[in-house]
Amino acid sequence: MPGTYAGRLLRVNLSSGQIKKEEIPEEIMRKYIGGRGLGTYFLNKLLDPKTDSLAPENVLIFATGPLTGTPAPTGGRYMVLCKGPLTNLVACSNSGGQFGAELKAAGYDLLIFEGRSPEPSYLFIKDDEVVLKPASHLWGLETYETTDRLQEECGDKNVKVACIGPAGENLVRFACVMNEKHRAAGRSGVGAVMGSKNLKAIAVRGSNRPHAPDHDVFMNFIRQKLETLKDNPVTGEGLPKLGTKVLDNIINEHGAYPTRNFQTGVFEGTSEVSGEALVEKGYLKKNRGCYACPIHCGRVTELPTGSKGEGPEYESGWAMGACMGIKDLIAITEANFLCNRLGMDTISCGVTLACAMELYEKGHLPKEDLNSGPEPTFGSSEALLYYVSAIAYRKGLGDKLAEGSLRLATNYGHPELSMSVKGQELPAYDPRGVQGQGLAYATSNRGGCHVRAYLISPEVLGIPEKLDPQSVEGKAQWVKIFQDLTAVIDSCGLCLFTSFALGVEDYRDLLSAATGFDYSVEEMFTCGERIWNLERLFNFRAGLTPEMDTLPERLLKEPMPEGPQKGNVVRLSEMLPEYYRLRGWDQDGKPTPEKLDSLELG
Amino acid sequence: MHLRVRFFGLLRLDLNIQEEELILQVDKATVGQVVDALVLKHGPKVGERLLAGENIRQGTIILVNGKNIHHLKGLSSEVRDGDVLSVFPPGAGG
Repeated sequence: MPGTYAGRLLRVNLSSGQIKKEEIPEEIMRKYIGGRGLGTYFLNKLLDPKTDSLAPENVLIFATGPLTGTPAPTGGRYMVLCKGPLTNLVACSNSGGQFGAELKAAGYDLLIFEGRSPEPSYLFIKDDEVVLKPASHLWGLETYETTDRLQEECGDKNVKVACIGPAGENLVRFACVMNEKHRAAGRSGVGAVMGSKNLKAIAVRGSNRPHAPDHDVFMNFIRQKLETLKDNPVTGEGLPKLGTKVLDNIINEHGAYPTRNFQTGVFEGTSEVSGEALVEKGYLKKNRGCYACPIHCGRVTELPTGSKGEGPEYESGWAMGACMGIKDLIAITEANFLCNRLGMDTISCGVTLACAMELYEKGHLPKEDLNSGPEPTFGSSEALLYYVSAIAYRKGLGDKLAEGSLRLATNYGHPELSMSVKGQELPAYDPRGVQGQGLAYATSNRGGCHVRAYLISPEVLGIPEKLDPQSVEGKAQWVKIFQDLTAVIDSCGLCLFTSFALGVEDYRDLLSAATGFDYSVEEMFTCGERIWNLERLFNFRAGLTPEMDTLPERLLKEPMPEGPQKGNVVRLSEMLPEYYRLRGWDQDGKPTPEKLDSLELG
Repeated sequence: MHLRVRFFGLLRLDLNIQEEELILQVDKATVGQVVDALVLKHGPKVGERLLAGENIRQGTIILVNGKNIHHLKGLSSEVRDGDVLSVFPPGAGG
């Protein structure tokens, strides 16, 4: 088995209880790298894309990369893949923490779940010992308690737990998988699919760390890259001290901080809720890193109310804050903690609630539908905290909110008020102020998402170089390169934040030294492009149509009303045809046979 | 001339100042000269955070009246009486 791969996968049929260990062919590892790539390969192989996402036939995959569990900087990432219940397309959600590294140490590159357990269950893994155990006594518990109880039950505090909370059990379409209590495979509803399988948790303990073919060469590269990350102002200073929430003021001053369901891009309460405010108010206690991470961007916080937890990060703080017009940092942080405990994606949760607030404000959501809940008005901390909990338990209006913003807004006759792409809610950058990011949103294989191609980096932050955010020229090429490189990083098992400091050669060095595959930069990019195209093929077979490569009407037609981006809309039609051409796709966005042949996908 | 300077990110935490008025005894100046004046007033940390040698550090954002100086004339961009400078040391996230 090559280098730092475990070389095998664990296949668990939850319906029959059968557990199998299978070898992974070396040729497949090299072509798909690992993590997101290898997961996508097996998803395509094992799942009919037309399957109902919440049916037992859906396949749920946990995938590590070749660098997961190694000392490579940030080498602790893993992916959760399935057909997603928000988009009915490919779902692929990334998390850090310790779980992925532990799974690799137990000797598995991937875990594949099929079927549905007749009773609530959890999977216990200790190296070669793999047992499905009953979990009825855990069903209904929040994620923190589930984690504590499982560690107690296993008699080992070092057991790493990935689990769902009540939101996943209740099939909230944006439920997530939480590991080590605070780290989330957050997006696309992978937690709902886990819930639909009656799988409450995975508890894993491993004792064999992966080894590179030439330890000295690998460690030399690692030392070199660690130095680069330490010397970089973003990864060495900014992210450790202020975390991702340094972005609140940056994006607000740029005029692209989505406020009150993307009705404007400037939030008057930013100074109250920013990353700087989190420090100044004394809520931030320390920072924390994931496995093998030198960056440590995680926020460990404690509120005057006595609540403790991790977060908010930029996205969560925005989703629970500006997106709903809320400038109460205590309520925002409490709501973030609550989402973590209940097991819900903060982004989709916040954007769905913001959608409900606009529906209510405009009179489309009648008061009688609130049952006994508070009025969902912009700026209401009470509504925020009430409905976060109501969604997880599908209580009252929470039942409709749990379906996500597109189904909610469609139900009330106004789908245009859902700020989503392909059914998944948009994150914290209004693309009217960042044209390339608009193209990246419209073409993301998992729907509305910023981490398939983070064009904010060149368009706003000036990394690796500063682009004009209002120019559309050349943006298609930038988006393609970022999408393909991101697919590589996600497949290696590294964190995307390394890309603020590392370049393509750095990833090639680490990947080649870990696996023993002598990748060139070109071959590595071809792997990224192959993964992107395979996701796209899955989506077409699942029912994707070309007109779904778009954005909410508001962002294409309603000029930004104020601020530095006043008057701007996203000029998507000026970028999309060029993007299709650069991808080697036809005018409907379908990969051509020639392109598929060149990627060995034909 | 009188300028308003707004500090963000690590610089705001370093200096413990959100914004201040900066008075320069000239009618116009470049952004580079304003940064020099801030270094004189607050110490070398300001320069370390924002600059790499003579150039703007990768990831530093300086806005003059909301416009990024990268899209003006960089550190040679002119400022005038009444202008507002917003200064961000390198920061990122996702």
